[in-house]
Amino acid sequence: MLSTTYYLGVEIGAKHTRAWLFDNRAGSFELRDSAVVNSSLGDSGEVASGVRAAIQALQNNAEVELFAQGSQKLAFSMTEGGLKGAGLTVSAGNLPRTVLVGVSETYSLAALRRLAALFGCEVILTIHQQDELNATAQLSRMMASNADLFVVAGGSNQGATKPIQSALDNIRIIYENMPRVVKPQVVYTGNEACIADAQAAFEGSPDVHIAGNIQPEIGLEDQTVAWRAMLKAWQRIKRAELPGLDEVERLLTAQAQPTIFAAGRVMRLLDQMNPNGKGVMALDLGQTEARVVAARKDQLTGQISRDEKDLSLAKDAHQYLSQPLDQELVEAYLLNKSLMPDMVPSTLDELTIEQALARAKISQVFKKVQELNPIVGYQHWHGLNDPYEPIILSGEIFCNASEISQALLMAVDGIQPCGITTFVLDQYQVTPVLGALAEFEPMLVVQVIDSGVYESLGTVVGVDSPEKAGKKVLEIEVDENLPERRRLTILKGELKRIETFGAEKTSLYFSPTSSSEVGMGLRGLGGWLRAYDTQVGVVIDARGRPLELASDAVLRAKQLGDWAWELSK
Amino acid sequence: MGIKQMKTIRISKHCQVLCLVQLQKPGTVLVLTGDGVKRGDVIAESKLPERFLVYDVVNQLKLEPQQVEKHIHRQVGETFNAGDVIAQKPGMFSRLFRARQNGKVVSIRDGKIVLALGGTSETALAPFPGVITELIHGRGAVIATGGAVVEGVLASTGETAGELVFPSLELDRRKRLADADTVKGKICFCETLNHPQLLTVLAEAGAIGLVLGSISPDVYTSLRNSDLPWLLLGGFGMVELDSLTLSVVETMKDETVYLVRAQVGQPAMLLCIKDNETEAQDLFKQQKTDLEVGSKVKLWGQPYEGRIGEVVELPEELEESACGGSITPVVVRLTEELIVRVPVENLMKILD
Repeated sequence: MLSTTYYLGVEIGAKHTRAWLFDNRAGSFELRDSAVVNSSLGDSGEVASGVRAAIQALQNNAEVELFAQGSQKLAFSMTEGGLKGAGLTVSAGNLPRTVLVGVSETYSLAALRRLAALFGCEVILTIHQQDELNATAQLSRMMASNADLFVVAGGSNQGATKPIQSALDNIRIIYENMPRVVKPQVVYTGNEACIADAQAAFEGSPDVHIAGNIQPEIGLEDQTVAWRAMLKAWQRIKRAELPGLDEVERLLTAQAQPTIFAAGRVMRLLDQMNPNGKGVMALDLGQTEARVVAARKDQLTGQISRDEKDLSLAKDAHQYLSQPLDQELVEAYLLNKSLMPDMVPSTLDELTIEQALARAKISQVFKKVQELNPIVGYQHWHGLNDPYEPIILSGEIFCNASEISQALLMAVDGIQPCGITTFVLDQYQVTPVLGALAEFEPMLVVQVIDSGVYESLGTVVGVDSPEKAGKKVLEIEVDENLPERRRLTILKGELKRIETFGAEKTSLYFSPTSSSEVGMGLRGLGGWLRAYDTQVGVVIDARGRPLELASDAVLRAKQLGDWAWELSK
Repeated sequence: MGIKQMKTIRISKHCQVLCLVQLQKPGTVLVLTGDGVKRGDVIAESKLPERFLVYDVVNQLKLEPQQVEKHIHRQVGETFNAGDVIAQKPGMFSRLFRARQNGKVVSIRDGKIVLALGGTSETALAPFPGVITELIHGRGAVIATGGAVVEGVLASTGETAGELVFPSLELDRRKRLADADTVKGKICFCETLNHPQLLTVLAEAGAIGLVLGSISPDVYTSLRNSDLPWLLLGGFGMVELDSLTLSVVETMKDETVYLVRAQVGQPAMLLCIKDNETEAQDLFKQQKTDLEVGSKVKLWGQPYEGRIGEVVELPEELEESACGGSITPVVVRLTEELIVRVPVENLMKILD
């Protein structure tokens, strides 16, 4: 019999440090156990003791010896079986303050924005060579930015080199002349003809990271060429920012990755394996930030939103309140929550506000991700038009929802998907760390996901119809392997839950009206849907896009309450 | 067994205060351990160029690009003084490029010369008088003093010092502060501030800082656009300012107080120095941040927002909250008659 192989995953978050153990005891890899401890960053100002505590807790839970006996080191195995590797993701700390420098706004800066977002960078300044700024003004802005990271691109490989050389020289001036506790990192991913200039300008400094051209030809964008350089730069920034991180990296013999980027690796892999041509998406909604990663048509897009004290969120959330509460109450709750992000809602009003804010946060992060990359296919006035399957939900807001149907409804209201999609819940929050472990064992990701680590929440069918509220938009035949099929009529404005009893038992036939579309490719086109067994079932969402909410606060609250009731078991 | 890693808040009538004052950028520390410092003394400073100037030698001096280098009189890295000639086109109609400020040549490229001009300094200033107890190499120092302290939950980035007054917020017929004379040049304590207009009125009356119990979101928006230093003690909306905080703030009335902004690892605070009241043993008192039976706590979330109580029990089992989620409960006595079960996440431990 083969001995069991283990892989360890660790995530350092702002609030929690988590550890997971995966093994192949059952023949293929699956999640063996997990542990969560409070992050040590807030308490002792370093991350290493939190990681050790999490691994110790995991060792106790799983009853597997992870630390070598009598040692502070992990018991990595050089022979068959045992602990083979570890992956490390980090979401704690500040978003690196980033300056993007390109040749043009439309091409190079747009590509750089996508690149920076995938590494969780906060863009504080963009400069392109076609703007009106003279060289002195550019330098002044760079000087004032106090950036952690400069990312430079621009020019196709046979294109002009002077603008890029000039930009590199300006960054060198800032790099050499502005005192900083930690020198800024520089990533160069532009015209390859300037690579030698970039290297010479910074005299081989370890703070400069050279990559291939992110846009080697006009109209062609390849983000992957810059990932390695971005990762190196990000790691140096984080090691300087988070005391103890280098110690953790030595302990795990693994280099840290941004959580959003690591999750993106999994999305990319799932997208490549997706047989139906749909994209794959992950939405992580934590107390202090929202993250979206979408992989579709060979493009990976990620976005983090951290707008804790943004009162426009409260305004957006007000329409989702299932209790008629004042806007000022929502604003006050949002602001108090930003002071105590871990605060748990303890009254019905607070729960209502919390869930309404969750919807507004989702909507906000989707708007941002759409601005970043239009290929994502989200329109604020029409929801998520393009198909994704599955949409993976994670984060405390979803995982701690008192009812699973509430988690699903928050996601559906925030995303407003059109057509057919499935929602799953990453209740153990393993997705990013699987991405970090993929380099050791690519099969681990697939096998762990196949083992059922995600909880199936439901299949959502978004009906797109111009009909008025109360008019018929869809008829459904429900085949439950019974002598007679159930027939349902769906009216515009309705949200309907159809309970499922497993793939073999439940199939649904959709007959939309001629003006309605249910994700079969054309208006009026129907078809069969096999309904897999899920927690909530199949949700038919004919409420319109955007959601047609009553203008009166009391009626709207009733409407939202009715929808929540419909989805609850 | 206590609960670790609690969020804490200090509310104390007399305690030792250690405040880390440091630069954002590396620089020179100008104090020594044991030095006494006054408010506003420079603890550390970092020298920076004031600005950069890019001078196009080719176009400004009308030179051939290939001739530029021989007409530039300074090399990269070389310093110069105001009035020095940096580049010169010789001949009958000579043209000169003279430096207007002291500086350094930082780049010569493609017929352009980049100068770092002037010098400015970023300073870290003592926010209150005290004694230097520790130096942070190249960054700053820790200042110690003793007195009454109330930590805030949010503050502006500005700092101030002055007499603390408790003005009435009544307005006269011209919608000006009736109490305006008592406010000028003072730091004002307002238990609640619910209208942005009151903020304008206080600023117009000459208040130099605000200590606020609770504020409305509207007022917060206005505060963010205001230059007035402020400190929020309670929170937003209907937050009751607890009796303990009130009693400490009342001891500061008509005294000189210091509004100290938040630094890395330490929240913003209101400080009133009372050296005589600091007992020697307090200097070495390390308070536990673990939550234990007997700990004083401040509650967040309705319906007890802002109230303080004492922990009477720490149940080990998770419980279902009123809203359905699973919580780690803490049993807190608010009054003799009122004992409540609160999620641990909704508590802040009070350090005194």
